[in-house]
Amino acid sequence: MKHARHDLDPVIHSPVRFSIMAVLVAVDECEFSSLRETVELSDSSLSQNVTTLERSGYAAVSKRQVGRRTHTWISATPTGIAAFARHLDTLRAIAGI
Amino acid sequence: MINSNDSGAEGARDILTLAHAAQDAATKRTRWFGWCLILVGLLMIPVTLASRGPLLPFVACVAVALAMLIGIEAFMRRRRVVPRDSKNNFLIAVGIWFVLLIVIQSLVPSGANIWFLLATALASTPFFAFGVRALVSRPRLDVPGS
Repeated sequence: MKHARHDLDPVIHSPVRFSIMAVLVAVDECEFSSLRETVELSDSSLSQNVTTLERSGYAAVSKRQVGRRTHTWISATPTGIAAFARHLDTLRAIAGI
Repeated sequence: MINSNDSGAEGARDILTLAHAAQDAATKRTRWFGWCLILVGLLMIPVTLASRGPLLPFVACVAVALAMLIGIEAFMRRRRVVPRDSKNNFLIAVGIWFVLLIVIQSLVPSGANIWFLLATALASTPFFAFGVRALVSRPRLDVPGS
Protein backbone atom coordinates (compact mmCIF):
# COMPACT_ATOMS: atom_id res chain seq x y z
CA MET A 1 0.00 0.00 0.00
CA LYS A 2 1.32 3.46 -1.00
CA HIS A 3 2.30 5.72 1.90
CA ALA A 4 0.30 8.95 2.16
CA ARG A 5 3.50 11.02 1.90
CA HIS A 6 3.62 10.25 -1.85
CA ASP A 7 0.46 12.36 -2.21
CA LEU A 8 2.06 15.45 -0.69
CA ASP A 9 2.16 18.41 -3.04
CA PRO A 10 5.82 19.48 -3.47
CA VAL A 11 4.84 23.11 -4.06
CA ILE A 12 3.00 23.58 -0.79
CA HIS A 13 4.82 21.00 1.30
CA SER A 14 7.07 23.81 2.47
CA PRO A 15 5.59 24.93 5.83
CA VAL A 16 5.93 28.56 4.76
CA ARG A 17 4.00 28.12 1.51
CA PHE A 18 1.45 25.91 3.27
CA SER A 19 0.91 28.68 5.84
CA ILE A 20 0.56 31.27 3.06
CA MET A 21 -2.03 29.08 1.35
CA ALA A 22 -3.82 28.53 4.70
CA VAL A 23 -4.23 32.30 4.97
CA LEU A 24 -5.27 32.73 1.34
CA VAL A 25 -7.97 30.04 1.45
CA ALA A 26 -9.56 31.83 4.43
CA VAL A 27 -9.85 35.18 2.64
CA ASP A 28 -10.96 36.51 -0.73
CA GLU A 29 -7.75 38.47 -1.05
CA CYS A 30 -5.00 39.77 1.19
CA GLU A 31 -2.76 42.79 0.77
CA PHE A 32 0.97 41.98 0.59
CA SER A 33 2.02 43.74 3.83
CA SER A 34 -0.86 42.20 5.76
CA LEU A 35 0.08 38.73 4.51
CA ARG A 36 3.71 39.43 5.44
CA GLU A 37 2.70 40.35 9.01
CA THR A 38 0.38 37.36 9.32
CA VAL A 39 2.93 34.73 8.25
CA GLU A 40 5.85 36.65 9.79
CA LEU A 41 8.16 36.74 6.78
CA SER A 42 10.47 39.30 5.23
CA ASP A 43 9.39 41.12 2.05
CA SER A 44 11.85 39.21 -0.11
CA SER A 45 11.00 35.79 1.33
CA LEU A 46 7.27 36.37 0.94
CA SER A 47 7.80 37.69 -2.57
CA GLN A 48 9.77 34.57 -3.57
CA ASN A 49 7.21 32.21 -2.10
CA VAL A 50 4.28 34.06 -3.65
CA THR A 51 6.05 33.94 -7.04
CA THR A 52 6.44 30.16 -6.68
CA LEU A 53 2.75 29.82 -5.83
CA GLU A 54 1.79 32.10 -8.72
CA ARG A 55 3.94 30.13 -11.22
CA SER A 56 2.26 26.91 -10.06
CA GLY A 57 -1.15 28.47 -10.62
CA TYR A 58 -2.02 28.32 -6.90
CA ALA A 59 -2.13 32.08 -6.25
CA ALA A 60 -3.05 35.16 -8.25
CA VAL A 61 -1.44 38.55 -7.81
CA SER A 62 -3.10 41.83 -8.71
CA LYS A 63 -2.04 45.43 -8.25
CA ARG A 64 -4.46 48.26 -7.44
CA GLN A 65 -4.05 51.94 -6.84
CA VAL A 66 -5.05 53.12 -3.33
CA GLY A 67 -4.59 56.86 -3.10
CA ARG A 68 -1.19 57.61 -4.59
CA ARG A 69 0.30 54.21 -3.87
CA THR A 70 0.03 50.93 -5.71
CA HIS A 71 -0.75 47.99 -3.46
CA THR A 72 -0.39 44.29 -4.23
CA TRP A 73 -3.22 41.90 -3.43
CA ILE A 74 -2.79 38.14 -3.37
CA SER A 75 -5.56 35.57 -3.62
CA ALA A 76 -5.82 31.78 -3.91
CA THR A 77 -6.95 30.39 -7.26
CA PRO A 78 -9.49 27.51 -7.47
CA THR A 79 -6.55 25.22 -8.43
CA GLY A 80 -4.69 26.42 -5.32
CA ILE A 81 -7.70 25.86 -3.06
CA ALA A 82 -8.14 22.31 -4.42
CA ALA A 83 -4.40 21.58 -4.00
CA PHE A 84 -4.50 22.95 -0.45
CA ALA A 85 -7.50 20.76 0.43
CA ARG A 86 -5.77 17.64 -0.97
CA HIS A 87 -2.53 18.45 0.84
CA LEU A 88 -4.41 19.10 4.06
CA ASP A 89 -6.14 15.71 3.81
CA THR A 90 -2.80 14.02 3.21
CA LEU A 91 -1.17 15.78 6.17
CA ARG A 92 -4.11 14.81 8.38
CA ALA A 93 -3.80 11.20 7.23
CA ILE A 94 -0.07 11.21 8.06
CA ALA A 95 -0.67 12.93 11.40
CA GLY A 96 -3.44 10.46 12.21
CA ILE A 97 -5.97 13.22 12.86
CA MET B 1 12.05 24.47 13.97
CA ILE B 2 10.04 22.61 11.38
CA ASN B 3 11.90 20.54 8.83
CA SER B 4 10.14 20.98 5.48
CA ASN B 5 11.12 17.43 4.43
CA ASP B 6 9.74 15.79 7.53
CA SER B 7 6.68 13.84 6.46
CA GLY B 8 6.37 11.91 9.70
CA ALA B 9 3.35 12.23 11.96
CA GLU B 10 5.04 14.74 14.25
CA GLY B 11 6.23 16.90 11.32
CA ALA B 12 2.75 16.81 9.76
CA ARG B 13 1.18 17.91 13.06
CA ASP B 14 3.71 20.74 13.37
CA ILE B 15 2.94 22.00 9.85
CA LEU B 16 -0.81 21.83 10.53
CA THR B 17 -0.39 23.72 13.81
CA LEU B 18 1.68 26.41 12.10
CA ALA B 19 -0.87 26.79 9.28
CA HIS B 20 -3.72 26.87 11.79
CA ALA B 21 -2.04 29.72 13.68
CA ALA B 22 -1.55 31.68 10.45
CA GLN B 23 -5.18 31.13 9.46
CA ASP B 24 -6.38 32.11 12.92
CA ALA B 25 -4.42 35.38 12.68
CA ALA B 26 -5.85 36.04 9.20
CA THR B 27 -9.41 35.38 10.42
CA LYS B 28 -8.94 37.91 13.25
CA ARG B 29 -7.96 40.52 10.65
CA THR B 30 -11.29 40.01 8.87
CA ARG B 31 -13.46 40.84 11.90
CA TRP B 32 -14.03 44.37 10.54
CA PHE B 33 -16.40 42.88 7.95
CA GLY B 34 -18.84 41.63 10.59
CA TRP B 35 -18.93 45.00 12.37
CA CYS B 36 -19.26 46.75 9.00
CA LEU B 37 -22.35 44.66 8.09
CA ILE B 38 -23.95 45.26 11.51
CA LEU B 39 -23.38 49.01 11.05
CA VAL B 40 -24.94 48.85 7.56
CA GLY B 41 -27.97 47.04 9.01
CA LEU B 42 -28.38 49.75 11.65
CA LEU B 43 -27.99 52.54 9.06
CA MET B 44 -30.61 50.92 6.82
CA ILE B 45 -33.28 51.15 9.54
CA PRO B 46 -33.64 54.99 9.52
CA VAL B 47 -33.33 55.01 5.72
CA THR B 48 -36.15 52.48 5.41
CA LEU B 49 -38.25 54.32 8.00
CA ALA B 50 -37.77 57.60 6.11
CA SER B 51 -39.28 56.00 3.01
CA ARG B 52 -42.68 56.25 4.75
CA GLY B 53 -42.15 59.76 6.09
CA PRO B 54 -43.15 63.07 4.55
CA LEU B 55 -39.55 64.28 4.02
CA LEU B 56 -38.32 61.90 1.35
CA PRO B 57 -40.17 59.94 -1.33
CA PHE B 58 -39.55 56.20 -1.62
CA VAL B 59 -37.35 56.53 -4.72
CA ALA B 60 -35.12 59.12 -2.97
CA CYS B 61 -34.68 56.77 0.01
CA VAL B 62 -33.66 53.92 -2.27
CA ALA B 63 -31.19 56.28 -4.00
CA VAL B 64 -29.72 57.31 -0.62
CA ALA B 65 -29.44 53.66 0.41
CA LEU B 66 -27.76 52.67 -2.86
CA ALA B 67 -25.31 55.59 -2.65
CA MET B 68 -24.46 54.48 0.89
CA LEU B 69 -23.99 50.86 -0.20
CA ILE B 70 -21.73 51.88 -3.11
CA GLY B 71 -19.62 53.92 -0.65
CA ILE B 72 -19.36 50.94 1.69
CA GLU B 73 -18.38 48.65 -1.19
CA ALA B 74 -15.61 51.11 -2.12
CA PHE B 75 -14.48 51.11 1.53
CA MET B 76 -14.38 47.29 1.51
CA ARG B 77 -12.20 47.26 -1.61
CA ARG B 78 -9.59 49.35 0.21
CA ARG B 79 -9.31 47.03 3.21
CA ARG B 80 -6.08 45.04 3.52
CA VAL B 81 -7.76 41.69 4.18
CA VAL B 82 -11.07 40.80 2.59
CA PRO B 83 -12.81 37.75 4.10
CA ARG B 84 -13.85 34.89 1.85
CA ASP B 85 -17.26 35.32 0.16
CA SER B 86 -17.62 38.80 1.67
CA LYS B 87 -18.66 40.42 -1.62
CA ASN B 88 -21.23 37.69 -2.30
CA ASN B 89 -22.60 37.90 1.24
CA PHE B 90 -22.83 41.68 1.03
CA LEU B 91 -24.68 41.54 -2.31
CA ILE B 92 -27.04 38.81 -1.04
CA ALA B 93 -27.84 40.92 2.06
CA VAL B 94 -28.50 44.00 -0.11
CA GLY B 95 -30.71 41.94 -2.45
CA ILE B 96 -32.77 40.46 0.40
CA TRP B 97 -33.06 43.90 2.05
CA PHE B 98 -34.33 45.42 -1.21
CA VAL B 99 -36.90 42.65 -1.82
CA LEU B 100 -38.12 42.92 1.80
CA LEU B 101 -38.32 46.71 1.42
CA ILE B 102 -40.61 46.34 -1.60
CA VAL B 103 -42.73 43.69 0.19
CA ILE B 104 -43.00 45.86 3.33
CA GLN B 105 -44.02 48.91 1.33
CA SER B 106 -46.86 47.00 -0.30
CA LEU B 107 -47.99 44.82 2.62
CA VAL B 108 -47.80 47.05 5.71
CA PRO B 109 -50.62 49.61 5.60
CA SER B 110 -49.78 53.25 6.07
CA GLY B 111 -50.45 54.39 9.64
CA ALA B 112 -49.42 51.02 11.11
CA ASN B 113 -46.27 52.58 12.57
CA ILE B 114 -45.31 49.85 15.04
CA TRP B 115 -45.66 47.15 12.38
CA PHE B 116 -43.67 49.24 9.93
CA LEU B 117 -40.92 49.68 12.53
CA LEU B 118 -40.81 45.91 13.16
CA ALA B 119 -40.85 45.16 9.44
CA THR B 120 -38.02 47.66 8.92
CA ALA B 121 -35.90 45.94 11.56
CA LEU B 122 -36.76 42.60 9.89
CA ALA B 123 -35.54 43.96 6.53
CA SER B 124 -32.14 44.65 8.11
CA THR B 125 -31.75 41.12 9.50
CA PRO B 126 -29.72 39.83 6.49
CA PHE B 127 -27.02 42.37 7.35
CA PHE B 128 -27.11 41.38 11.02
CA ALA B 129 -27.11 37.64 10.20
CA PHE B 130 -24.12 37.82 7.84
CA GLY B 131 -22.39 40.24 10.24
CA VAL B 132 -22.73 37.96 13.25
CA ARG B 133 -21.66 34.96 11.14
CA ALA B 134 -18.51 36.84 10.08
CA LEU B 135 -17.76 37.73 13.71
CA VAL B 136 -18.10 34.19 15.05
CA SER B 137 -16.53 32.33 12.10
CA ARG B 138 -13.58 30.12 12.96
CA PRO B 139 -10.64 29.03 10.77
CA ARG B 140 -11.30 26.04 8.52
CA LEU B 141 -8.24 24.18 9.73
CA ASP B 142 -9.16 22.26 12.79
CA VAL B 143 -6.05 20.93 14.44
CA PRO B 144 -6.60 19.29 17.82
CA GLY B 145 -4.33 20.53 20.55
CA SER B 146 -3.41 23.75 18.75
